[in-house]
Amino acid sequence: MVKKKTSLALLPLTLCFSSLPVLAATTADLEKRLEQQEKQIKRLENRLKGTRAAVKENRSRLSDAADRLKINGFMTAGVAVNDGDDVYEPFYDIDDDYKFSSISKAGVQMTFEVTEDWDATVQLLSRGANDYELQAEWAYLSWQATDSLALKFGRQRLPYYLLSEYLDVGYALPWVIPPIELYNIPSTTTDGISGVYSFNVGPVNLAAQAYVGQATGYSDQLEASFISSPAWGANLTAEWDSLTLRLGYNRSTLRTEPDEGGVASSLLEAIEAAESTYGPAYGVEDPGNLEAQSDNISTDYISAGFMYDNGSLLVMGEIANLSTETFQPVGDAGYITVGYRFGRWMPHVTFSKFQTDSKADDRIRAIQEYADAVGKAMYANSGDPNAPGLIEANAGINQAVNAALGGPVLGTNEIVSAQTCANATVAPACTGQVLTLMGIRDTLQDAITGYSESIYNSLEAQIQEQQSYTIGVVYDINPRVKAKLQATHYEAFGKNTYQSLDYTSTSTPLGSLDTYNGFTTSEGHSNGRFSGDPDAAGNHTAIYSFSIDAVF
Amino acid sequence: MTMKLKLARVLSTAGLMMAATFASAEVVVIVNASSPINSATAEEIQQVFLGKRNEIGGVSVTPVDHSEGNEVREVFYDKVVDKTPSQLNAYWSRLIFTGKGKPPKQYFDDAEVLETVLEEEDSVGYIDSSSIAEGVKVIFTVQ
Repeated sequence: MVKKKTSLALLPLTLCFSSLPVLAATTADLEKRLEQQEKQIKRLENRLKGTRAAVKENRSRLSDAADRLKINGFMTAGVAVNDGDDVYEPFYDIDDDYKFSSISKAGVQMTFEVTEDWDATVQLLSRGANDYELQAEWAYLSWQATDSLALKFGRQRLPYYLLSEYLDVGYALPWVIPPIELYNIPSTTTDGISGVYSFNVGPVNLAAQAYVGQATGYSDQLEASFISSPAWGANLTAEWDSLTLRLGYNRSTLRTEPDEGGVASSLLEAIEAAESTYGPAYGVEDPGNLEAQSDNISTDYISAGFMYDNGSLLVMGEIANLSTETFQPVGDAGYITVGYRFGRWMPHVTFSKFQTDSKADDRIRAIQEYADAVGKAMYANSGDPNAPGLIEANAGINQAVNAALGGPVLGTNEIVSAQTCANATVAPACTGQVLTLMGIRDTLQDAITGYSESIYNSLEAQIQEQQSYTIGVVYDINPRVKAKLQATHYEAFGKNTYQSLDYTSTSTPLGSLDTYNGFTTSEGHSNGRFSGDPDAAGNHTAIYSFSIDAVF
Repeated sequence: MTMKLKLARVLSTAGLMMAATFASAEVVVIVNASSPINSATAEEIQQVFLGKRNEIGGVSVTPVDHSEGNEVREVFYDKVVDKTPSQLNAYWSRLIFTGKGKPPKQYFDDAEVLETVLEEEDSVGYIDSSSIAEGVKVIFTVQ
């Protein structure tokens, strides 16, 4: 049994030995093949490694690109309505119809990190009040020059006031409509360069910002476009714990381009005519400082603001003074807001006010007085036959008519018009000299109403006052969406005195005729930040608004 | 006997759960172990995470944040920065949309924050204290 086993066990060995040469050849061959295969595996492994590395690199490149591109946005969807149709809010386009386009807007911002220190940013904004036209509010390259100094090149929002740069980001503001007494500058962007230098003094974080560039805009009140070049400014912001303080100064040199037939254009023309023609003709001395300016007008904005926000209590306020060498309604404006957070709710109240300091502006008053004096000189008897006054010219007409009709039919101030001449009784008198005098008289009358009166009254309308009370509430729907509701009562529109040439109707033997009755003054209220007739609205109005605001 | 055992098990499980809950409420601020920073004040950390300063004790730092909705993030911002998620978004939107600041980069969870702090020496992050690992050191414990 054992032997058999042994022999059996030996069998493979014998076999092995017997085939040894064959085996040797095969082993070398196999080894070679194995080597080749190993090489092949290595090659494949290397290739795989390469592929893996490429995939990894690709992946990181992709995530890198994704990391370097940041897309953010904000959106306001809301509705606003003005209480009554006698006044209209032009800045947001709010009238007595519920309108969704007044305050609704959307913005999207893309920032690409070009290198570690350079960013390229574009922020596009579409405002309902601007027909949802897409405009670039920001489009700049920024350079982080040092840890504390950042420069921006390109289009940027004008940093006039505390909230000016993010006034359209509804989510970041407590109001649906920010106080229009202050926030109504018709120019939001500048193209140029700016720099922010940030530093800390103890626990206070300070940021000094300065910019210089060009800006354009359109003034609804003057009906004129304007170009500010240069527009420059500087501001300093200090943050300490919950408190933020800010001081700002901005200066622009304006060139205006008044719309033909608009407020500014008519005013400039009237002043020009009063100065060059009627003033000298009627011997009214030009005070010498009336240059009707549309170019090279300096405008200064000075402002101070603060915000205290400790997480529960919010108190913020600003005051600003705007002064300019043009007739734009400028002056002092300010507001104060107090809010308190109760969980997701934040009720708040705001008082806001503005008044033009044109009342104290000698220049405007001087022009008004001059226009008034020219108008009154054109009205009264001049004693100069080459430049008769309106009353004089009219009396001449009436004398001639009375003479032709053979009796005192017309009184001195009664007005014979072309229509009166159509009357069969008067018709024979309406010849030669009478018609010439009527032409002179009518030209004078147009000049008085068209120049003197219109200068006086247009300037008077630029003297304004307005205040408002707002109550509102903000509700945090979630960390990225808020709902806001607000009611604002506007009142105390400034009192103004307007001048006009006065007529009364009198009964004459020739029928009912108009009679010159000198000048009359009437009282009314200015528009404030509204258009329309505040007196018809009872000298107050209200705007109700609601919005949902999101950031992403 | 069996009943007692079961009860003990239930109790210990509850205890573990409680411990876990407790642990998840404790948030620590961490830096790389090689960082020269050994401690920081709440104010310094608050300012770093709000982008108001970029150094702690003269050592430049980069904050590393968690993604929104993360529990550890809510605890951190509530207790250290004293802002609700809404207030934080309002704060950053003022800076983002005026080009005056960028919020810290956000990471998915403690592991990612930890990895970043381990990899990048100037990083400062915050994690649940139960996630602390070798290679990082705690410079502030959120109370």
